[in-house]
Amino acid sequence: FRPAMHGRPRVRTTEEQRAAKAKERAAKVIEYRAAMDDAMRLRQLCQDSLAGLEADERRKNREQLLRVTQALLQANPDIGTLWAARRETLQQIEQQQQQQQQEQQQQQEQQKQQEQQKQQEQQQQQEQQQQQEQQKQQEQQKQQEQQKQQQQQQSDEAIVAQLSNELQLTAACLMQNPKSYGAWHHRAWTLDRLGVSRADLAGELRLTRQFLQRDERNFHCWDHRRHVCRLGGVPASEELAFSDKLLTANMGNFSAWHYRSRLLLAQTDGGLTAQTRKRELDTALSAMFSDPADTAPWAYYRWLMSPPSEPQRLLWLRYLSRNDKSDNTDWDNDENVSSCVLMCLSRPVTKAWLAKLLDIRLLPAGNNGDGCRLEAEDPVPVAAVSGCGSANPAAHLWRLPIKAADGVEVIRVSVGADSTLMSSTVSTAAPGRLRLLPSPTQPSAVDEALRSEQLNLIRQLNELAGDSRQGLLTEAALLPTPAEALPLLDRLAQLDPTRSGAYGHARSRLAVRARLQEAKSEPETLSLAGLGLTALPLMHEFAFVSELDLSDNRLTRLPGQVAGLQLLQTLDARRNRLADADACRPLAACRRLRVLRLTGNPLAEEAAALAELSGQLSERVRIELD
Amino acid sequence: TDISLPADAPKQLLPEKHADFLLQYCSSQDNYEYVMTEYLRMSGLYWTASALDLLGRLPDLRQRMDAAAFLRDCARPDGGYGPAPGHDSHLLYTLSAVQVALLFDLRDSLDAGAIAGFVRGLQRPDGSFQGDRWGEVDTRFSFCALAALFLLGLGDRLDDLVDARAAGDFVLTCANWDGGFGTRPGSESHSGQVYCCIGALSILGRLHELDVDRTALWLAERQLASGGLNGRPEKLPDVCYSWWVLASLAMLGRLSWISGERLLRFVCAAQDPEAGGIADRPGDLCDPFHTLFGLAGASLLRLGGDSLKAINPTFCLPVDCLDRHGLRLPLWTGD
Repeated sequence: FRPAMHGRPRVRTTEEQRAAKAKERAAKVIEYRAAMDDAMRLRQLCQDSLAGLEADERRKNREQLLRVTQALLQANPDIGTLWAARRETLQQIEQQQQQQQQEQQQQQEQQKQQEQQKQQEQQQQQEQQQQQEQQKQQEQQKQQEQQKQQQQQQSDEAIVAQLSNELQLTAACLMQNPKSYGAWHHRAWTLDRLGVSRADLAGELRLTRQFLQRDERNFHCWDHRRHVCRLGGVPASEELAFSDKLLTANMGNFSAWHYRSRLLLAQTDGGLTAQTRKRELDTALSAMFSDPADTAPWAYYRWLMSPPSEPQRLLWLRYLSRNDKSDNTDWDNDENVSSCVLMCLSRPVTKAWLAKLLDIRLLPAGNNGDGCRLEAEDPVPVAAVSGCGSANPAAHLWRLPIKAADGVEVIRVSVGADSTLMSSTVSTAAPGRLRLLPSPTQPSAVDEALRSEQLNLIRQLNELAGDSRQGLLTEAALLPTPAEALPLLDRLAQLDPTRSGAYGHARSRLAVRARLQEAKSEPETLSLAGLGLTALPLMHEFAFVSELDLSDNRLTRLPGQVAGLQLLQTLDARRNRLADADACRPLAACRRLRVLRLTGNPLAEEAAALAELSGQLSERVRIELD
Repeated sequence: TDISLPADAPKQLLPEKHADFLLQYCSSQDNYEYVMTEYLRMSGLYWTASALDLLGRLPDLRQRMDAAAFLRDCARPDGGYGPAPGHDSHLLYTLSAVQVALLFDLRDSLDAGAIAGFVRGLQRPDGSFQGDRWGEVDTRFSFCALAALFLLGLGDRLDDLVDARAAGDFVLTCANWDGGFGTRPGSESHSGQVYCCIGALSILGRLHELDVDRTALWLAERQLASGGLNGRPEKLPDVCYSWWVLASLAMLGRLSWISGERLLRFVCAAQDPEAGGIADRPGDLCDPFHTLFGLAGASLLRLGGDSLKAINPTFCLPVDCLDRHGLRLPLWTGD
């Protein structure tokens, strides 16, 4: 990734120095151009149909090409085309040697056949000598076999010698340019061609160790080592021991910690055993205690203690009917659609996913049996989070159009498969009623006793070492409830103002989560007022609200997911930091919005901006500025 | 590991100077740097042209060179593009060629079908892409492949042209424990690779499969006391990471997670106030690569004033260039 110049200081030079340098450079340019032209010409000659040239000439061209490219590559190993030229040449040499071998074998076969014929004739005449002749034949065959093997070996040795040249050349290039993509790749290519049986893999591992001694973070070298280990089937345990050695020498070696993480995951197929986790935690902790200022072990530690990612969950359903008089929206023009179910999932999914894993059933009054499966109309994403064009949008919220038949009372929505199946129902008799699913208690892969024990240790360490970014981040990550982490995030923002945006975002998420948990009884009127929010995450979780209070926060814009608040009628956004119409753009999609309160925002003082906002929103929206 | 900003370093952006520097850099064909960087010249042209376009000075470059001829001379029979005439084709230079074509309004001179064929031929069964026929695999090449196809206007046909699902799956296997991404599965997290992986997933519409906060925090941790951004932990800050890291955060909707002001101060300090141009860090030699990425970062932060056009974070091209060609990639708006 570092094709251009890095780490080269600007130096003030005299007129004289500049002139001398210019002269030197002019000469280099001429030299380079001549060598490149030569290389290209030779390559062309080698590539062209070889029929016109004598074998000797061909060989000479190839050797010259190898010489010229060697010099150029040692000066600059990033000229990819030259490595390609060498690889072609090696392939040609290999091909030619194989051809020669075949020709020799054919000749030998012919000779053998001729001799056999002769012998047969003689046999008819001299049967006494038959036995002797047979012996002779066998000996000759043996000799020919040996010859063949020798030739195979020679030809093998010849190719190996050529490939060894490539190893030498790449090593020389890497000594000068240890981060050259071209040199490392050519080396790996060469090793692959040598294969496990002929390559000196132990030597190769030694080489990587040498380069890592020069620069323990050289990711090219690390990647090469991984390649060699894969080629040679080196067990993870050996490499873990290697990483151990490096970490003992320097606990701050990020690359070595990273290597451990991947080796462990590979060993256990993606999940750490409790035993492994404990051992790694102890290793990280001892590093953290011995030098708390070293950041690498802290990051590794947090990874070890991080909970598994949240599984997919069906969060809520809401049935909407055209016949519902309390619903004040315009329905879509599609006459056939009389109702729909709004569905919310904790993680965004695509239509393709739903096609496989969504099941909607209409159950008649009395709710007996399986009901009849609805051939779902295309589910419609609401406030999609992503999607190139509209090829495959992903969303938390989906509108499931339902053509309800007479007598249907219950609609069951099921999502997922087998063990991950989530299911719930809504009643058509109570349109608009929200069905909020209870959050299941999740078994954590990190058990409570461990978490509690580790929290104590980290607190001890933080007391000893004083407030630090790593210490606070880690302690916050170990706390059992969101509310407890809030003061830590505040301290982090003070200690590390550079990243206050990140901490504010995390804080906002925790604050919203806490408020949502409290609001279970009357969720459709949600207050997120006075939480110091700088961001507004988790909106899909409360996208069913009809009244939302965001007043007295620090929002500079209403994020895109606001467009998912399809049932929102009143939004109180007073005393935030909304500065222009653009900051409120997503509100245009909130079809049921009727009241918007904006007092105390910079936007409220700007007549032009307000006019623009008005134009964006439906005329049914009343903007209040009292 | 960090640097300190010299007290006398520039504190304002110097757009005029940079335009002069860029135009001067490629003005002479005998220019030492120009000749010796032949092996990446197509990318060099893209960096120069994109930076000049951000500054509104691309017409000056158009006058001085025949971009159409250069593109023609670098096109290879296999459908790909090399960095310079006579050099072999590679995904890196094929993407740069498409970017150059868009900037110079030469899109019609590209054979989209041939390029798509070249790209498709480089995908491997595990979904990864090799840079050329010699087999080097790198998530940079996944990005180059998908971005090139998108910029050719083939973004809604990705599933037909390559195995889009496998391409995304491969990128995800390069995600690491710390939220970053590496070159190949198992490789250490690196800002440049993160940019390429986020870009690829952005084009594929699969950002929602990430732990976005974890990745964004890793990116935010790149900012050092000097205000500059580094490529990975314990490394020196470098202006080019201003782009890789910033653009990644922008694609994730989290530009506010670093301090834009402090970053801009670093970028300004890395300028050469006399000759123009931007270097990797204050006091070093300038080049078009760092000039582009410093200006691109400033543009993303909207701290360049009126002197810089708006830039697209996925493709590092001015927004108006993409608009002109009818190319739109909706930004992710998830949590």
